[in-house]
Amino acid sequence: MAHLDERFTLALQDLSDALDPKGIDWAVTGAVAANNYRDQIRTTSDLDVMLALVGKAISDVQDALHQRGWATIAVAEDFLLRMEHPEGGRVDVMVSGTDYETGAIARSHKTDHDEDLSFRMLAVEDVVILKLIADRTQDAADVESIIVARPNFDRDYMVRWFEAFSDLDLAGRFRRCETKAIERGLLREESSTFR
Amino acid sequence: MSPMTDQQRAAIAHFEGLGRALAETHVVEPRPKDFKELIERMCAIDSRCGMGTEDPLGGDWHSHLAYLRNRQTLMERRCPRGASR
Repeated sequence: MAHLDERFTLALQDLSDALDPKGIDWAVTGAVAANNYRDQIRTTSDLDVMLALVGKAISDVQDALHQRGWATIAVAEDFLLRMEHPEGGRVDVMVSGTDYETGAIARSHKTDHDEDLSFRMLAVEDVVILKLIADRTQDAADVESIIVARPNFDRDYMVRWFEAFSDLDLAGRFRRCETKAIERGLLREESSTFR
Repeated sequence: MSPMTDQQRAAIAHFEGLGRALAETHVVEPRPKDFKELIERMCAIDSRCGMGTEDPLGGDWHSHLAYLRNRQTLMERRCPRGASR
């Protein structure tokens, strides 16, 4: 069994070995990406990645991972896979289904873990937008924690997508997270992102 | 929704005050210097970090499904700049 903190490395390395030769762009998202941008780190039960599949099906990814010893735990709607690496733990694989998500993967930034492993991590604005779209309690808590860490948000980019996704009132959801942080005394009103 | 009682208002004020007091004494940890340290800290919180839950559909699975549902709503409404597949 791999050492605790080696699990993620094993899973990421194997994903990289399976996906990169196929030309599939992918990036780390979810709790691990959120932790990268917040001060108060939280635990997670799995690693989340998002894939930009062009001309390929999710079953191609599933097959490639099966060949490397991964097991399928669950599949949902041809867009989501829950896979388990024999030593590297659990990984949720979500497939990009919109221009926005494909663009988010394209603007993700390279993270060098060591000389053998590098991977891409979604940018902070996209981690926030994805969590605002999901809009569950944990997602809102993650967004609040990121806001409290006061990252240097690309406001224009966020406003662009808040407007594009106005049906879901992402701007309102973001403001509510910010208001909670202010009410808890973790953020000053004058530090609001869109003040 | 029925109006709050004095007791409920007092309780809320108490917990808000508690929250502010906790926030004032909150010490922010230095950010992890790299991904390795980030993962080490996550695993220090929970030794089963990354190993899934007993429930095969536990953890963030329902959050992902919520995301997919909301994304589907966006696509159906055909947002001007976001939701073409």
